[in-house]
Amino acid sequence: MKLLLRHKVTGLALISALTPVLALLLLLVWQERDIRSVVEGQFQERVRGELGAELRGLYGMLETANGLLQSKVDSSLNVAHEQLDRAGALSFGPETASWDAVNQNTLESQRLTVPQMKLGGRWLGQNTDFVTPSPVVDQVKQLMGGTCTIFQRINDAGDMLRVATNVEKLDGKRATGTFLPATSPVVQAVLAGQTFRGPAYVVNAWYVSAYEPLRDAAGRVVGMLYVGVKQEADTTLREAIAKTKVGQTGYVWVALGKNANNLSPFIMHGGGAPTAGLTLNAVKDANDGQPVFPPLIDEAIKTPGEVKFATRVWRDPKDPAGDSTYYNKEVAALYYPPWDWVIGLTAYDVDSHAVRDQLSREFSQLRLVVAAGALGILIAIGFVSAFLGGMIARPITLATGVARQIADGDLTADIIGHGDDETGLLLAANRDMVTSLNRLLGQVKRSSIQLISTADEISAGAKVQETTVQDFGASTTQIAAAVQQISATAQELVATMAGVSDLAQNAAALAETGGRQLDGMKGSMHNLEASTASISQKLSTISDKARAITGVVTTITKVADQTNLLSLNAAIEAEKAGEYGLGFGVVAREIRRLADQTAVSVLDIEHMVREMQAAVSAGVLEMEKFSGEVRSGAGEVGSLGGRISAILEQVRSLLPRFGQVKDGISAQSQGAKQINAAMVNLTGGAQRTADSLREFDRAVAHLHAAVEALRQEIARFKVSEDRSTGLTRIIFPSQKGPR
Amino acid sequence: MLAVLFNLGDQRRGLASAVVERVVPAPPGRAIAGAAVSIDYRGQSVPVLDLALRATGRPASSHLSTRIILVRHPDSPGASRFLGLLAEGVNEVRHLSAPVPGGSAANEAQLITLAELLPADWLAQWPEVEAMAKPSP
Repeated sequence: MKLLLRHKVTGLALISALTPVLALLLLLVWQERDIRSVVEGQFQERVRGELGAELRGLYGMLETANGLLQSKVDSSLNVAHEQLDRAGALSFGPETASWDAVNQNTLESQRLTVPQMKLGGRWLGQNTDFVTPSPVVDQVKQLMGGTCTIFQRINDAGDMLRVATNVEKLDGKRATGTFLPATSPVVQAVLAGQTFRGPAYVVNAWYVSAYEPLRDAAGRVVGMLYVGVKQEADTTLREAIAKTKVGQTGYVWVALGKNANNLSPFIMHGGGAPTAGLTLNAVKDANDGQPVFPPLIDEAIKTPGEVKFATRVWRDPKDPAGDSTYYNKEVAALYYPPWDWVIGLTAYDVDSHAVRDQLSREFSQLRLVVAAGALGILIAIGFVSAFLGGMIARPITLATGVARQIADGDLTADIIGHGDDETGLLLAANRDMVTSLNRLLGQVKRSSIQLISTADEISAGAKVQETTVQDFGASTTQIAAAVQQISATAQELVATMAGVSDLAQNAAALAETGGRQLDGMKGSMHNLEASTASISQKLSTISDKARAITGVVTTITKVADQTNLLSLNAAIEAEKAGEYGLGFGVVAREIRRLADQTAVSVLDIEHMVREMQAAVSAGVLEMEKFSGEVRSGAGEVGSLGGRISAILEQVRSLLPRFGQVKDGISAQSQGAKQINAAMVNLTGGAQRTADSLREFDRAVAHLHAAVEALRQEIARFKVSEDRSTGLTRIIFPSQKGPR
Repeated sequence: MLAVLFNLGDQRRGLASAVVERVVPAPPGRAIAGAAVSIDYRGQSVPVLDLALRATGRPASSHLSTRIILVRHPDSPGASRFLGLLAEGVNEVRHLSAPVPGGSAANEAQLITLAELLPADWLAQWPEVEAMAKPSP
């Protein structure tokens, strides 16, 4: 999809409008979070403040109560002292008493025997019922109303046995016979010589108590004296505490501190949930499922007198609306060490919840407004920019359309200016361009038409000329060819004549020479004949001689043969003769040698003679042959001489006639040459003319082609002629809107 | 011993002069191949064997040195039985040593005995000659 100018303009406007809106929205979101957290914080502070104040109030109440009780305890203790003194001195008799001592904590009993504890010489006894009085303790109760116990140390570890008490067990009897183990912090303190003051759980209730060590004459701790006042003599304190209210849904709760664990129940719980048996770890955070109270209690214990806070999430399953709404609840805790009480308050942010909802609503509304506003702006801007974009783009589109028309060859388009801005100028320039083009093209068209007609005329004239020249050229060529032939023939004739003349002269000369030589030859022939005859004769003589030699040689050979034979036989006989034949043998050998030599010489001679004979025979043959030839040759020479003389005469008579012929032909040849030269010139001229004409024709053809091409190009453009003014005017088509 | 040399084929051989009676020239004309020619010597007809024919297959050529060696049995001095051996190159006598087994120098003539020379078939035709040919006991 092409991005047109108008689209770009619109896009630019939209983006410009959109960006700040988006920024604003982002800012809103950011701010909302901040504001929300601030509001949350404020609420929390307020609630905590309230809770803290209340708790401190309660703390004060407890302190007051405790103070009262504490003074009562002190008074009771004084009374107990007095009673003890009145009762007499403390001693341990020689008598022993057996006890079934029960561990107060583990409830295990063990049998033991200890010396009797006596006051003023009187054994305290083992009284367990209230009907029978016990010394001291009953009096304390009577006077002060609290509990009192005398303990006896039963072993070195320090276990303390109740030997006289007005503490009532659950079964209505006195708690005599139970003992505190030495590990108890109370006993530990007493054994160390200190008076223990603090809360004590006796049987089934908490008492504000004091434990004092009892010493013997040596100062060793031999027992304990206890007085205790119930923490809560009645429920007044509790009621007062329970009345505490925080906001609409807040409540108070109390739990034990160090002496309790996660599974211990609340001492008091004012919340809507059933309180009986609710353990400390029962209430859990709705988000992470962790118990709410134990960690907070631990913290409070660490800082007694300082309020500790925790914020938890709670889901109300009993919401009448049915949907589970999440509430934040603030829990505050404060530790009161003397009673080991952790007092606390829990408040739900129902109130702040409403405010929070309101805040959310406000914010959402704000967001909506902004979003709606943005959308509205975008739409408005979209329209406006589309309109403006169109306004900008329209003239450009128009100009583009016109340019396209011109490119296609239609110069009849009209351009209307659009104001003085850039596009207006563009359109005006286009208009001028079209006008100029029209003018130019009109000129070109006219010129080209004229040019073409002129070219055609010239071309036609040139063609006519060319044909004429060609005819002329053809004729001259023919003449030239004929003349050429004549000339050539004449040349040949002259040459031939010259040749013949030369030959005739040569022949005459040769004949003369020949004639002379022939005579000489005849003479030589005769001489040769004579010579050969004499040679033959001589050869015969040699042959005879050779034959004679051969005869002699034969004789000699025979002699040699005989001699050899003789010598052989002689040698044989000599051998046979043995020693007698020695001399004979020598002679025989000598003879043989001679014979051998002779034989050899004879052989040589024979050989030579044979050769000689052969040569002679050959020579004779040759000579005879030669002689024959010479004879016939001489004969021929004779006849030849006569014929040559005749020829000579004939040749001599021819020579002058040859000269005449040659002159005539020469003259002819010259004339022909001249004609030929003239013809050549003529032909050349005609040829040149024809060439020029052809060149001319070619040039005209080129011109024609060029003009034709130009005309075709121009034909594409539609131009109107105004016949009245001779100028061209642009035709104005109907104006439409922007394309 | 002294030996009469002759050609046997292309070899030069020597016949002990003790067995040679005489060397006589060969009769003119050629001997018929294979058949024995006889000559007259001291009134008796002596058979002639063509040695050259035997050795080369060609009859002895008619050189001047082609002669007949007349031999006789060495053990019958003064005996009247002779044999003629027609051979070529009979033109020399020389002293030769006993033939060395394995041959001697190439151009040295070698002694040869009658027994070696005379072929058995020829001897058969001449029983009296056969006796001559046998080595002396």
